[in-house]
Amino acid sequence: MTKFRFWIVLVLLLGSTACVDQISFPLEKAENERLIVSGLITDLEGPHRIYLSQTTSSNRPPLLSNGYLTQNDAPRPVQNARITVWGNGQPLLGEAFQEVRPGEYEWNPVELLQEGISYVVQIQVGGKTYRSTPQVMPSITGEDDLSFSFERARIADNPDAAQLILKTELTLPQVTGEYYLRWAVEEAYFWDLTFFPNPFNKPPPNCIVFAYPDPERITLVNGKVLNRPGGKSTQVIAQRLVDQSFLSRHYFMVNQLSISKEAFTYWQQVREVVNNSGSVFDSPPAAIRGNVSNLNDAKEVVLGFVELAKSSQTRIFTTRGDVPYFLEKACEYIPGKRYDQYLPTCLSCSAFPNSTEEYPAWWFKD
Amino acid sequence: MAFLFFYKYRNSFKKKGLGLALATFFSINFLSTPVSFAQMDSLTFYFGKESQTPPATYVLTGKIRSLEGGDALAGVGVHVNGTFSGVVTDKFGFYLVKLPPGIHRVVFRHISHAPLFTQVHLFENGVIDLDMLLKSFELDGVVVLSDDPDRNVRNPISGVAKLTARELQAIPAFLGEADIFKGLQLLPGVSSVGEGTSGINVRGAKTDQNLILMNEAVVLSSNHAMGFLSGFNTDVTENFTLYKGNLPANFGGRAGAALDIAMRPGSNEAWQGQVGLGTSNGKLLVEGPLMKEKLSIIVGARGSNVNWLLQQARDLDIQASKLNFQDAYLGLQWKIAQGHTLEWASLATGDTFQFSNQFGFDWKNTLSTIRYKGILGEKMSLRALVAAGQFDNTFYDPEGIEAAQVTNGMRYQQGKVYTTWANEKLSLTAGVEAIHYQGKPERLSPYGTNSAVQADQVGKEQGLEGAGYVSMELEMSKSSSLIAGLRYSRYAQLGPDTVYTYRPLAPQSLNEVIGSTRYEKGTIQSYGGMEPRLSFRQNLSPRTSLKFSYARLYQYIQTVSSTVGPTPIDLWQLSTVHIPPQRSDNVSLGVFTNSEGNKWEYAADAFYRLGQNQVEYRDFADLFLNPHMETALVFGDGKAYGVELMVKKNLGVLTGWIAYTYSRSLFQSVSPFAEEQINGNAWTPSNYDKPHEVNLILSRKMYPRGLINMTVNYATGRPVSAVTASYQLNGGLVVPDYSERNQYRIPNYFRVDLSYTVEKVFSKRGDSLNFGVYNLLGRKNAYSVFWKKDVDSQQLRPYRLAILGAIFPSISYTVQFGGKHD
Repeated sequence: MTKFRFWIVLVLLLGSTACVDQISFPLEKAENERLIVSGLITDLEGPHRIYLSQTTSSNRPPLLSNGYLTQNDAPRPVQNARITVWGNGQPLLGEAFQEVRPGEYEWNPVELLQEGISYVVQIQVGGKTYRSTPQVMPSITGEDDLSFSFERARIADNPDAAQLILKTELTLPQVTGEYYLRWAVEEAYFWDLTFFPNPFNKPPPNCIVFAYPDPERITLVNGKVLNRPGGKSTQVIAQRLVDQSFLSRHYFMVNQLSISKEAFTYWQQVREVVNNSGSVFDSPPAAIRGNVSNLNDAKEVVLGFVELAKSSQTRIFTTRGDVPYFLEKACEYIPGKRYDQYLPTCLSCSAFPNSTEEYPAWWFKD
Repeated sequence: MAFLFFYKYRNSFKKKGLGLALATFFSINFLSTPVSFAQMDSLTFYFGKESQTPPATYVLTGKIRSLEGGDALAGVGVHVNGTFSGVVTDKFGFYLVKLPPGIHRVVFRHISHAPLFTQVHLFENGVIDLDMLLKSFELDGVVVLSDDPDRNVRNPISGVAKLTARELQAIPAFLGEADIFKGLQLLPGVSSVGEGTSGINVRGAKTDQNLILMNEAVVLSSNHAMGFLSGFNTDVTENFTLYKGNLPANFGGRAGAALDIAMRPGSNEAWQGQVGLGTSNGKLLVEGPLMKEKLSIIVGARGSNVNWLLQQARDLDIQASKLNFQDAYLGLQWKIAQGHTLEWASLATGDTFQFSNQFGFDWKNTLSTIRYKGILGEKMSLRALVAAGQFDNTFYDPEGIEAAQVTNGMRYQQGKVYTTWANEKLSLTAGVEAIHYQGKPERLSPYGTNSAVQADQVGKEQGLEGAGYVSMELEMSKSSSLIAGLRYSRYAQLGPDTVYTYRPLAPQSLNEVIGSTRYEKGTIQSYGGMEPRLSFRQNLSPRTSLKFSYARLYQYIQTVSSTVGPTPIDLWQLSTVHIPPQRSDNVSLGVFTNSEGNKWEYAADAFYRLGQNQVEYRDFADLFLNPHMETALVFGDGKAYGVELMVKKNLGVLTGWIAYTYSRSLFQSVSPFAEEQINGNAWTPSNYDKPHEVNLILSRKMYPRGLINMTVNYATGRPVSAVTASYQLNGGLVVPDYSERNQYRIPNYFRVDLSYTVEKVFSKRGDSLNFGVYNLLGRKNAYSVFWKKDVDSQQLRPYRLAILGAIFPSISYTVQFGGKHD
C-alpha cells in the first residue's frame, strides 16, 4: 500500500489560552486569632521597630466604620505589649520598646548591638510571654554600588510601563561559606503640596513621603552556593512605575541585611508563597512558621519573624532632570478648580500613610 | 499429529479491492479425528464430503494473524451463521469451534481489523488460517473497549481497558491531535490533576505508580509537550491496554496500574507514508519493506509548532514563553524465520520550555529495545527483551547572582525473558526480568556571566531490581476461569553512595544528622517480597459474570516532586536505606453483563487499595541538590477506594458510553514527629482526589458518510490549601497564612467537546473533513486557585487559573493518496 496523507489543519482561536479571574471562594476562618510579630533589629542606631497584630478569626467582632458595622479581615494591631531584648541570655537593662502607634513599637538602644552576640526578643502581652529563637548578630556583608535607569518595560500586566529600575553592583564579601543576604528597599521623596496663591496664605509645608517601592520583590543571596569572594555582580533590587513622585528629589534607601540562616529560610518561603500563581510549576503553598513561640504553649501558632541583621545602608536619588518622560504636575494650582477637586494628597501631607514635614538628616548630605 | 497448511485467498481480496494477502503458516495437532485441508481461490472452504453417518460435530480450527505485522491476533470473535459462537482466538491467535456437519457461514470479527466472511462446507475436521487486514480509515465511532464482543464478561481480570490508535481518532481532541493519555481519561477510574499536566491517575494512584511499557520495555518518563501530548505518536502505535490495578504476574515494579503500549511494525508490503501539518505540530511517517516479507521499517517523527499559540495568550508571561518539542520513533522488524521475529524499537523525545524570562526546562528521553518473539512448538512461545533508556533534565534560573542551571537524569537497562505454554484450557507463563538503574549525578553550574554560583554536584543512587514470576490462566469450566500468579521481586541499592545516620528517636532532618557512612560498591540495602496475583471469574449466567481480583505490588522507584501534578523535571528516586519501597494491596469486585447480541454492556466494579510507605513531600521541600532526600519527604499509608459504573452501547447508529466513578485517594503520615507529619497524621486527600467523575461519550453515524462525536466530562474539583488569614511585612508585602494541607477544593470541572467528521468530501479515493470544538461551552475550568493582593484593600483575593479557559474550534482535512487497500 502506498498511501500519502496530507493534513491541513486550521484552528480558529476565539479566545486566548490561559486566563486568570477573580472568583469567590468560601473559606472557614480560624477559630482563634493568631499573633503576628514582625520586626527588624540591626547593628545600627535606632529606631528599630517591631509590629504586633492579630489575624482575623471566625470570632472576630465587626468594627463600626462610617456608621456601619464592617468585617475587615485585615490584621488588627496588638497594643500594650512589653517588648525587651535579651543578649547572651540576659535582658538588656533599661532597654524596652515603646509603643509609638497602635501596634508599632520602637527601640533606640543605648549601645549598639554587637557582632557575635546572641540576642532574643521577648514579648509579653495579654498575660502570655513569647520569645524569638536566639540569633547571633552576623558579621559579614557585601558592598552595594547603586544605580538606576529609566526604561519602558513590562511591569505586571502592563507590557510597556515607564519605570525606574534600581540595581546594585554587589561586591561580594571576601569570604566563602555561610552568609545570607537580603535587601530591603525604601523610598523617600519630596511631594509638592498645592499652593493656593492668596495674600493671606502661607506656602504649604515640606512633605517628605516614605514608602516601599517594590514590596513584593524579595532579593536574597545565599553565600553558601557562591564562590567568588570579592567578586562583583549586578542585580535588580526594585522596579517602580514612574509617576509624579519623581517630580522632585526621590531617594531610594537600600538596606543590605546580613541575616541568619533561619531568617533566610523564612524569606525564601515567603517569596515562594507570595509569588505563587497557581501554575503547574508552583509548589502547593503552605503555612509559614516564624521564629517566635509562646513559652507556655509550644503549639500556639505565631506568625511573622523577628529578624536580627547586620545592616549596610546606601542611598541614591533621582531628580526630575533624570526622568526622560513627561510628568504632569499632580498638585499644581489651577485657577477655578475647586478645593475639593484636588487630591487629598495635594492638600495635606498627612494624607500619605507615612510622611513627615521634616527633612531627614541625610536629605541634603548625599 | 502436526500439519502444515498454506492458504491463499488473493483473488477474493482482489475482488474486494483489499490487495494481496499473505500466505499463512501454522501447525496444529488433532488427536482423535481425521483432518483434511483445502486450498482455494475464494473464501469458500470445503472439508470432506457429505456422508451417511457423520459424527455429531466436527472441529474447525486454525490461526488468525494480522496481515500488517504477521503477529498472532488475539480476541478475534468467531461468528457462525449470524450468531457469536462464544469462541475467540487466544493469545497465539488460535481458535477452535465445534460445529455440526453442514454448510456454515463463518465470520471472523476483530475490533481493529476488517471482518472476514467465509463459507465452510464442513464434513470433516477442518483448518482455516487467515490473515486479517487492519481497517482503513473509516468512521467507526468510539466503540472501543472490547476487542472481542464478550471480553468484558469473559476476561477474569476486571478493570482492563483497551484502545487502538485508530479508535482514539474518533474522540474529540484538543487541537485535533489524538493522544493516548487524553483518550484514557474518558474511561471510568482514570483522571488527571488537570489540563497542562501529563500522566494519568488510575483508581486514586499517583502518576508514578503507573507502569508504562512500550513493547514491554519500561518507559520512565512520558512527559511531553507540557502534558498536552504524550511521547507516544499515535501514528506508530498499535494499541494500548490499561490494567487499572489488577496486574497479572508478568507486570510489576509499580504499585498502581500498568499501561501496555504496543508499537506498530512497518509495512512488509510496500513503501508508504504520510505527512501532517497542524496547528500544534508537524508530522512525518514513513514505512516499508527493506527486504520484502523479511525486514520492515517504520519511522515516525513529530515537531512542535505552538509558539504562535502561546503568543495569543493574554498573560504576558505566557506570551513571552517558548515551548518546543520533538519526538521520533524508529521500528525495525526482521522475520528471521517462520515464527521467529526480531524487533528493534527506539523512541526519542525532546522538549524545551522557557517561561517568560524567569526559568526554563530542557528534557530528553530515549528508549531503545530489541525484542525476540519465537514460537518454539505447537504450544510454546518464548519472548526475550533487552532495553536501555535514559532521560536527561536541565532546568535553569537565569536571573541574579545565583543564576544557575541544574542537570540530572537517570539511565536504566532492562532485560526480560519469559515463555508461555498454552492449550485450549490452560496457559502457563514463567519469566524473569531485571532492571538496573543508574541515577545521574545532579549538577549545579553557573548560568550566564553574571552568576557567581559555585559548581556543585550530588551523587545519585544506583539500584538493581529483579523479579521472577509464574502465572497460570485456567479455563476451569464454561462458567469460570482463573488467573493466578506469583511474582517475587527483589531490589538492592548499590554503591557508591553515602548513607546518613540520624539521631535515634528523632525526626529525619538536617539538624539530627549525627554521622554518615560511605559505601563505594556492593549492596547497601536490599528489599524484596512475594507478590501474589489472583483474578477469578464466575459466570452468573451466559452473559453475566462476577469477578474478583487481588494483587500485591511492590514499587522500588518513585518520582519526587513538590508540585501538584507531574512536571518534566520530577526526580526519580530509588529506594534507599531511609526510603523503603512502596507496597500496595489491591482488591476489586465487579459485575459485568452484556445484553443479547452485545448491543449493551453494563459494568459495576468496586476497588480498594491499601498502600504502605507512600511518599509525600514536606512543606517547602528542598528537592534539588539534596544528598539526603529523606529529609524532604513524609512517609505514610495510603488508601484509595471507589466504585466504577459504566453503561456502554456497542451497536447501532448511536454508540458510546456513560461512566460514573466514585473514587477517593487519601494519605496518612505515620511519624510521631511534627515535621514528618501532614495535618497531624490525619487522613488527608491527595492532590488528585476527585470523588465524583462522570464521562459521557457519544458517536452518532450520520449516513452516508458522517460521524458526530461528543464527550462530556464532569469532575469534582481537586483539593487545595487555602488562605485563611494574611498579614503584612515590609510595609506592603502581604503574606498569606494557609490552611492545613488540601482542606479545600477548587471549583468543579465541566467540559463538553464536539467533533464532526465527514468522508469523501472532495476525493472519491478517500478523504475526510473534521470539525472539532474543544471546550464547547468555553468554561474557564480552574487548574488551580491562588491568592493575589488587591491593591485597594491590601488584602488577598482568590483567583482561578484556567489553563484552557476558552473555546478551541478546529478544522482539519485529511486526504489519502495511493494505497492498495480501501
